[in-house]
Amino acid sequence: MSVIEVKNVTKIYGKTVALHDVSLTFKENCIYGLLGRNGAGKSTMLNIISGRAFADSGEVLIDGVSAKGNDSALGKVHMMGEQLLYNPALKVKEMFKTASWFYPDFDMDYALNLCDEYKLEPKKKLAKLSTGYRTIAKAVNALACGAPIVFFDEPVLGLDANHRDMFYKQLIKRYNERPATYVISTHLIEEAAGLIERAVVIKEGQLLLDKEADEVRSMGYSVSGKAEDVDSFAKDKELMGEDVLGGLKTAYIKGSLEAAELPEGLSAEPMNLQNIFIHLTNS
Amino acid sequence: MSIKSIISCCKYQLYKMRFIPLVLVVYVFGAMILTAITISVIDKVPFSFANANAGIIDLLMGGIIFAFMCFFLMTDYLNTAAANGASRTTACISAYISSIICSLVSAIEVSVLIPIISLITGYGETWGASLYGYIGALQDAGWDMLSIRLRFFGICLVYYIALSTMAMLLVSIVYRFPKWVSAIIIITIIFIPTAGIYMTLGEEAFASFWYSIAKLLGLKIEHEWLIGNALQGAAVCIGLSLVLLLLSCLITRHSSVKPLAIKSD
Amino acid sequence: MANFDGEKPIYIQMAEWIEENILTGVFPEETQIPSTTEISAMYRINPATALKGVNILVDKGIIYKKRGLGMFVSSGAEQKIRGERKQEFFEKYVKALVSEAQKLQISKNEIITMIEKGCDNNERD
Repeated sequence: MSVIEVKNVTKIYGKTVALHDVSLTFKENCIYGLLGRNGAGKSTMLNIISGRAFADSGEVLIDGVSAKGNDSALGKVHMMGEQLLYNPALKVKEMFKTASWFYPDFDMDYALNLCDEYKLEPKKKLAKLSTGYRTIAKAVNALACGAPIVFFDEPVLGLDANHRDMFYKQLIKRYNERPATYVISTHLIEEAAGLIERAVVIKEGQLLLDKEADEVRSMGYSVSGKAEDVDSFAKDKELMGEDVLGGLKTAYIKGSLEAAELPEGLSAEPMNLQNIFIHLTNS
Repeated sequence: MSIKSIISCCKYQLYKMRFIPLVLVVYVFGAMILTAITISVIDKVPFSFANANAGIIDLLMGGIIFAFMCFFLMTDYLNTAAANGASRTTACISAYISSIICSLVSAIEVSVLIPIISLITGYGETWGASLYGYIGALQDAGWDMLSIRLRFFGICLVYYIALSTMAMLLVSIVYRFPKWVSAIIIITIIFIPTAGIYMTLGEEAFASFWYSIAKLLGLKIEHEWLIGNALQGAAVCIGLSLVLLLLSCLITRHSSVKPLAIKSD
Repeated sequence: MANFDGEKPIYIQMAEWIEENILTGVFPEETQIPSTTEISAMYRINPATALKGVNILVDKGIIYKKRGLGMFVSSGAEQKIRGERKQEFFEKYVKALVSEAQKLQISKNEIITMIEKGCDNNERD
């Protein structure tokens, strides 16, 4: 059952085409990684689905109902955006209270427990928090809200390594307790690689791929060795990119490799999610 | 748009509004004391509450409500809805409903406070009431004190509602347009009916324009002892508020969400 | 292995991690292993992935599910894993060893001597 259907959405800001005819679906109870370079259109898409921006053409359906201006559809979505949309004069606890008025399954005890863990003071005003702690406050709000669809747009921006690790653990724990559709948009691909079930990659405003994370990992491999040997091996293959260092060449090849195929003198390595992403999205 | 979301938005607005009753009380008594002090200093007379100018207090009350709306209540009606999965339409309707509730509370307070002030200062009339007829004129026409007070309450209510939607429109303009465009729009709105008409069409045109506005609002204009048409004024205020509400919604309908500035001083 | 990352599919890494722990006795036979929920939270991996890894082992007969209780290590699991790994030993270790030795121009006899030395050292420890 698909929870979110994005159908042929196009969004143009001035002269820039932020999204061009993008169609995809997000299913129920799954953690998605929404990946893309800066300016690829990830935030735009999340904004459109959550009602913060409006598509120029196309539509978004949530549980089969058009999301535009529809409170029962929009009320199923909570977005933790890069911007703070709550009034900065609110205290952290007041932000939680506000969210609880809108999201009936908001878990206040859970939110306050998380604040304890992060050493976030609930009585502090949002404006007075450091950028990192403001991100934490928004993240806690998003984890606690209990909505069936939660978007995390750069959820660990400005967080130190310890807090990032805590966040990932909290996310999995919460997801285990309350399965929902989580969409995590992040640049820290390898950090999030273990968390996500499916990877959606946006490149220059268009959908590049939507696959299981493991499938993406097996989309390519690298082959290194003497430049001529690598070239002859890669001759009939689809190249994603290459690095040259003197006489040593590394070719990044699309597809999968049979161990038997590899000629002497060449070594092959699988590629991790981030590497595949980088090579697929290099222009 | 759903009832649930509207209620949620209103809950938030009401939560923010919780200070207004106290603010009004502080303002009214503070203004009373302040004007009494000012007059005794300026006119070099002994301090007396009788010197406090209840008219000014009443007059500025509308300004206080307007400022409260502009800078406090209305500032985040769009963003809070967007942050919590509520639609623009819901945001607009909830803003209107909560401004009605706020106006209601304020109007009740004012209707109670002004007579108290009058008792203390001995100043019988208030500016707001006299716009639609002096207490004396109304009593002569057969109104009892309670009805006069209720009438006053009603007048305050509709004017505050109209003021709130003016604030809502201003906030919406500033939200939707870049700063310089908003400045131009707002200055134009203020300028054209005032200095604009005065300078281009002359003093007479200016006077007759505002005279017509006053007539439209049912205000008592000519003779002192006239009684104005408060019902007409109420209808115009409510109608105006609905028009301004609609305008605010239309202006912000398709604008992308913009966060409020974070002032971390 | 404390980190599941990098190149091999995570569910395979997970399955291997469980097998490793069975071999070394951390998860003895007929005892319960941590739930996929616990594993996923501990290692920050998606529970569906964790489940996939566990299911591989269920299919292989190394783990079984006890209704309402959780996952248990089957009896004979250790032997099974050992047998499997013995088969893979040649592919995984010997081939690589021979290839590396060739690169370094180490002769076959030298390799054999080194292996004997290594075994002796191991026995001593």
